[in-house]
Amino acid sequence: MISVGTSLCQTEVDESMVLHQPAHSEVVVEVERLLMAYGRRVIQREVSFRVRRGKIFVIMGGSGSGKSTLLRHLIGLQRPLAGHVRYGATDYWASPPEVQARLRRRFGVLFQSSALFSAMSLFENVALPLRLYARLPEPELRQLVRHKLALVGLQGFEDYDPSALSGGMRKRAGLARAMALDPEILFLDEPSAGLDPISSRRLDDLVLRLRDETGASVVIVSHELPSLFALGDDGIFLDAECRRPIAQGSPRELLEHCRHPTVQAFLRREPAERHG
Amino acid sequence: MIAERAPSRLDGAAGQDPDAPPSWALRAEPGGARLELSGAWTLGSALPSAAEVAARWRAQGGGVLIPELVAVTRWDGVLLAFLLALAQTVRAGGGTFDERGLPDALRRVLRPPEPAQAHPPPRPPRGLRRVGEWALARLTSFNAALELLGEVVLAFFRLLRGQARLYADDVWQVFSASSAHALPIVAIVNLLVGAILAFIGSVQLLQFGAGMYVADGVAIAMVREMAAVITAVVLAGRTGAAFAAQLATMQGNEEIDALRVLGVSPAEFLVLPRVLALTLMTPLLYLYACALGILGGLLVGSGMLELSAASYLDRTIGALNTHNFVLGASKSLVFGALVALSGCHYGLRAGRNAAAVGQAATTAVVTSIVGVIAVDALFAVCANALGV
Repeated sequence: MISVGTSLCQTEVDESMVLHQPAHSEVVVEVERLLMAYGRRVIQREVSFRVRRGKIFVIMGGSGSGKSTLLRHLIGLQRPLAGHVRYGATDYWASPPEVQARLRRRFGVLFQSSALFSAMSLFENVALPLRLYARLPEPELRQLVRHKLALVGLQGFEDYDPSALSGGMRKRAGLARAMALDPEILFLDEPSAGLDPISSRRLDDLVLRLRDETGASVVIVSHELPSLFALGDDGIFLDAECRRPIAQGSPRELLEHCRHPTVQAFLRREPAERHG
Repeated sequence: MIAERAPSRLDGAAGQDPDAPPSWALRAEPGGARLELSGAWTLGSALPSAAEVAARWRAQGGGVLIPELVAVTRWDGVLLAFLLALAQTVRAGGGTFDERGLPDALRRVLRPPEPAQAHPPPRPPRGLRRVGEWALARLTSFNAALELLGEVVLAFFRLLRGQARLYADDVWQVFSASSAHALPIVAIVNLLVGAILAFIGSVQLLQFGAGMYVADGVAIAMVREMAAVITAVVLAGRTGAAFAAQLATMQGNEEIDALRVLGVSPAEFLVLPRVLALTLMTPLLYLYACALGILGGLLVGSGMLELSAASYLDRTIGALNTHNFVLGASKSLVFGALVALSGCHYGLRAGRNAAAVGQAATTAVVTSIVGVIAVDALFAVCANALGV
């Protein structure tokens, strides 16, 4: 039951707020009872969810709820205090470094700031993963890089420095680099941050197209409502005050069926006290 | 900043002098008092004291205080500041500040704050705990520096086996920044140091009729000590700081995270080229610094001693031997590695904001300079023990 008042935190996620995906989809990422902290400050606890093949999973929540921190735990940048992150049957954090390195090659990451290497041109940024792992002859590599940049609408910009690009173009270039090795899983950290609505919509359409064309599973951290509703097949809602997830399901399903006032306030973009 | 209000929008303000000084009157009412405000409450006005108003309210028995803009002609943020201070004093004294008669813009700001939803930030440690946490932080940093050194050594062995992942353009840029671009400043500084040594030596030694030994002194001092140390200090401030700032900026842009996710070791991709560049280039710069330092000494010394350049150089060559150069070059090799490692270490450990970039550069420079002097002292002890 949800109590409306000062305490909206529960010990367990209310089953009515867990809108399950059909069981026939293969699970590509499984997170089990993750505990995340910085020093003694707990960010989130009891985080559990599954990402299924070909689906777009959105991590939602207000500012400071630990969305990006959760992403860092998934992509191997931060070790959890407890819990498991499994790719298939392999527990990432229980594996030796060489296994972790192999697992990381299966996913691509678009960072919030794009994280393009400033000393390299766009071409070299996208080519770097291919040079590291693909062992392609140079002419084929050049063709592939141009193809990746064309996929994101940046053909002709191969020789540009990242500093010469707009924010939206840098995001698309970052996405091209994330897609360089045709990853099975794509992680996007606040892809629409800093973008105007048109650029944000274009990026959403691009993500959908890449998912449909490559079959990649996508995990997106976002609090941009239009993107969440446009992209999310499934998701989890992290609460900063309770420091644990309070709902699971796609944004549209949560909006229609979830009774938690914090979730409703977030998805309707209205202050919480207007919902009883 | 609250926008000014036109007099016609406020009750009682019409017909008032728009520049009348701010004033107030406290009118007693059942259960409290009404505070009637008039005049222009703007920047530049001589404002009444909120403390004085609060004292008068308390003297009248306290209770509810109801502010009202009865004849305020203009107001801006100073009225807000006055009312905020008054509201805090009234509430702290157990009274009620009833802002309902005020305009919306003021009322929203003066409303009592909601209980804090966010968790308060941790308080900074004090006393012994602060000392302890400082010591632990230094130990952690030292441990991380040792780890980085180990990773760089392993990456170097991978390089020798042809398995290291380096970006050729970046390597070339680092090498040229650490060598050719540093030539002018190394030349100027060491030329001046040689000249200063010759000047001081001449002044002192001429008193004892030993002016001819100035050339010897300058040569030995430059080759054994000054060229290596001064060059390392210059590189710490120039190149070491640049390394720290570059890597700290990359840290803030998540470029380091992106490298890690790609499976690329930052120690191999970023640190190794920089350490190699400075380790290999610093001894060359040292030799260049020796030449410039001796030249500086020659320009000053030969003039003060009335020696020909040929005689000065003859004494210089006679004073030097291979041991001096080997010692100086060995020091400069170690100094170069130290400066590069220090810059890279603090750059990689920097925070993700603009201030952290500056802090990383500053810390790298200070640590490098202190490290250079400490290592130089160690070399002096070892050289003395070996009789070099």
